[in-house]
Amino acid sequence: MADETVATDDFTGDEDPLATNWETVDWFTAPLKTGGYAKGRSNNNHLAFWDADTFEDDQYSQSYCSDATPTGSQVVGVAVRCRDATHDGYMATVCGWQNTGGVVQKWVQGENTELSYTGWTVGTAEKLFRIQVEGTTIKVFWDGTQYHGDITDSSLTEGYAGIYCSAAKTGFHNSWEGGNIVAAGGGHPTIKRWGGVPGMAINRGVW
Amino acid sequence: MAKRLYIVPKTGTGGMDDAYRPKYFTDLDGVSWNAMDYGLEPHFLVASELTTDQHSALVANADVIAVPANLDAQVGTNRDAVVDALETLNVPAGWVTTTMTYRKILKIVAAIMLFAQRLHGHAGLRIFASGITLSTKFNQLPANVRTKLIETAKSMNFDTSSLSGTSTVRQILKAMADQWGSKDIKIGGIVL
Repeated sequence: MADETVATDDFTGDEDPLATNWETVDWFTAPLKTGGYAKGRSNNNHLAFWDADTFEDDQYSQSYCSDATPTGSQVVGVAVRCRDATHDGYMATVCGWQNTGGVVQKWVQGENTELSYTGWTVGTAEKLFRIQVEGTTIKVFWDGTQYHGDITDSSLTEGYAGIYCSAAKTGFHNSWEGGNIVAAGGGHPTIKRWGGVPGMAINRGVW
Repeated sequence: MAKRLYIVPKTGTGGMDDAYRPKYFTDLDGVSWNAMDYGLEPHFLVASELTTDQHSALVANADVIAVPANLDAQVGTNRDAVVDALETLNVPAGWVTTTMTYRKILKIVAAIMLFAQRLHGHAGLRIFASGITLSTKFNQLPANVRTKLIETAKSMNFDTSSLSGTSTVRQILKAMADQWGSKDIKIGGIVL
């Protein structure tokens, strides 16, 4: 399988709340975009997804998490299969209150469920944080190493790639990328909502 | 100890700052775990590697089911106890036989859980809403639930012929699980 980039955002410029090309999942607040980063604000939970393009059901979301040592209630994470009206999304996070590791959780129809906790050394250097979902299998990578093992979950089948943060004065997003997971050597034109070639959603069938 | 499987209740309210999570495990500082929820039903299947002391403390709780460490052992004389334990959680288990391994049984249980998850994600419904039991017949379910069950099965590319007439919830859940097929179900590195 291979990545097919659908969208990128380096969060240059200032925008508060983050809105251009992004949608905030209902019940959450939009992140703050400032100086090349997307980040949270005190006492807020932010789950937003890139809605300027559509994504196939098999998708990934990744960003470089800069200075990613959240403390206290601070959380930074990446998300897939997000939808706003149904309050959906799979999220992988590193958390201040578990500052040597992270949690995988899901929002399904507005219900928040933790699926996995595992520890690793998060450190302070900028690292690539990635979540991907193929069919019913979720995988999480930090700096290229998989954590949490393969997670099987069937709740969510579609949506958008996105980011999550919570009260994150540190642990913010830099150079985000979202896309599809396609057969290596195959692929198809990137689906673009604005001005692109009309795409065709492929039903991968096996669930 | 090696990684083992447990079935534990949910704790939490499912809210923003109080997620559903497996009871007892989040109190174990630094212990990694993976959990599979039964949709909106109140239990998790959990994989975790505990110390002997942690394991002993956990299984001392009456609401915890510890699956034997050897998943490839046959259930044998434990069959009735396994059936009772699962059915208490509204997991149909009359199909369990003495020659089945724990791994085979758990794969079917996990597949039932995954169908319940899809029902939650697709329709926002739980299976065992008020008054619904394993013996409830399909034609006794509310019309919207019948419709959503069929849509959920179709979303998983499952045959829906069991979702009709006098089929019981017990029969329906087993029929859905059987259609998961040979695809692995993974939890915490354990392959079912």
